[in-house]
Amino acid sequence: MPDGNVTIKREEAAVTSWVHLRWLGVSLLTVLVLFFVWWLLTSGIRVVKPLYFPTPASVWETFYRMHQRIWAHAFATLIRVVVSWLIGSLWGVVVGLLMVRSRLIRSILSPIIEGLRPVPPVALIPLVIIWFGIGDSGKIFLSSLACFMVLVVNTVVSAKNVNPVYIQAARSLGASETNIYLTVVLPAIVPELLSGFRIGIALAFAITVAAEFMGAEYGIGYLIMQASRTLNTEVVVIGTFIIGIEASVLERLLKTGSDYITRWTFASVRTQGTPIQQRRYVRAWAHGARANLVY
Amino acid sequence: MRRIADESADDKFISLENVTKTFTTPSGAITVLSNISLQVKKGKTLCIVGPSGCGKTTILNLISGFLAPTSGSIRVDGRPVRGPGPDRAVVFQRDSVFPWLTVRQNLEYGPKVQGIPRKEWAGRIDEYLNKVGLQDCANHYPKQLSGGMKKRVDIARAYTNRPDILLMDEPFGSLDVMTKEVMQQDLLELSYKDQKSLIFITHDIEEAVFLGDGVLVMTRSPANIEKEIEVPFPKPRHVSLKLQPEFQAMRKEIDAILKRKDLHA
Repeated sequence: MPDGNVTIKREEAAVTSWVHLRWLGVSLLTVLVLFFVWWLLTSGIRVVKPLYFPTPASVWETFYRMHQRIWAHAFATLIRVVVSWLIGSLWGVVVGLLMVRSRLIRSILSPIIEGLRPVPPVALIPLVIIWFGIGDSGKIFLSSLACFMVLVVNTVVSAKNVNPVYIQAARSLGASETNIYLTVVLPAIVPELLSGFRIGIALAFAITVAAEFMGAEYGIGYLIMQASRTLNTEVVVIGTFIIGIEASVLERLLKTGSDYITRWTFASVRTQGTPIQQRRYVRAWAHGARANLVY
Repeated sequence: MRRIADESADDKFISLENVTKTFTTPSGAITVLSNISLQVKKGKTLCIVGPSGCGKTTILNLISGFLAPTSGSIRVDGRPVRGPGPDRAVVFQRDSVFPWLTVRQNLEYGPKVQGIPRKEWAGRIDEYLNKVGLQDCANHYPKQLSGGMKKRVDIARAYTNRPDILLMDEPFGSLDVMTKEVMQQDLLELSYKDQKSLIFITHDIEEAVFLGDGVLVMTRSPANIEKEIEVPFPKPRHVSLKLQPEFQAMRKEIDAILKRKDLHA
């Protein structure tokens, strides 16, 4: 049984939680310093006028006054982003796999995809507003199109790079051609797909908010644009914060999910080391010493 | 009368007749195999030795169905080979254990993907896990295993699929001597007990003599069969066989053939 550096691993597990907490503390300190600088510049020595950047107190006061409206807008944007991301990404993977599988489908779709891909999705917003109006459907269409493009290319490139020995092995174990795509190609490219999903969700956010800027009845982008027209800087700042928070929460969730799904890869901490080391690691994890070693 | 017919079918369980394989490359056609004929009896092990690049792997790819011959015929159990199939399990030189599946799921892959009802093979999984000594690692991912353990997963996966034929392409090439010896012993026992037909490619002469009922010595490309040697030692065999003078004599004989050919090349 290979059991080389067990002692080192064990020490690591014990030390990890402290090391992790320490670095988390440093990051927390950065946030506090930023808040202090904000306060100092706007309220303390007042070198920045409230019109350019509001004071922390007035932001909090505005948020408290209109938080119900803000949540409604935040929720509208979040739904658009998540829905369009799901639709676009899943279609992207399916179409990508079909393109790898069939020469005909590849020949039909490549000119469309290659022609559309270099166009920045934001440039299509005016056209989409003419087609769909300023409701949900246009924004969802555009964001999902962007996610689709990312995932199609991602799927085709990574599927072509799957180690042929896995495909041969599957074939000699009795897998049919379609089965090979579902049981070998798809799982093998999951790590690449997940990075595509993460790029996709950031893109979906950017495009949804941009589309809301240009015409909407609801959404954080709409809220920010309205506030900026009336020079209501507090609401602009709150809107920006909300986007940041929503995006990073989604990103975190996706990260946690993909950590679990890709636990078989070498990069994953969840299953690092040999079986014996692994059991130690799980035990350490059970005792609360688990830490995000890898970001 | 019928009995004789059956026996001759078993004699030619795997048979290649006048097989030639030519690859077309941008710089012209390369003939890798020319006019190769060979037979493997049912339940017997044929080891193929030869210098690297002499077309050993091509023979295996032809029998497994990954390649089609340019001319000649390849038959398994009387039927011509048309493509890869679960009746011929392949253990590749490179690591082909699916890294996204646990050890147990890797073993389950073959029967599952063929749609065989679980109750028909559920017991087999643990049986073969035990045979290769991986029962404690059943729920681990391949990346948590050493090279030798992964190779054992590979072999157990091939076995779980209950093939008639095992095709192995230098499966122990990357292992250290100690592990290799254990694996050879395991393979001997497994293939002997289940009476599997086995084609085993190696460049290790000792390994070939130890595992094979016959050893095929091949020469450089375009490959020809230089000599087919029958290995007389009865099975089951034990590692101590390697120390006996008859064994060493046979090893030296094959070594001499290969060296002589290398000088001419």
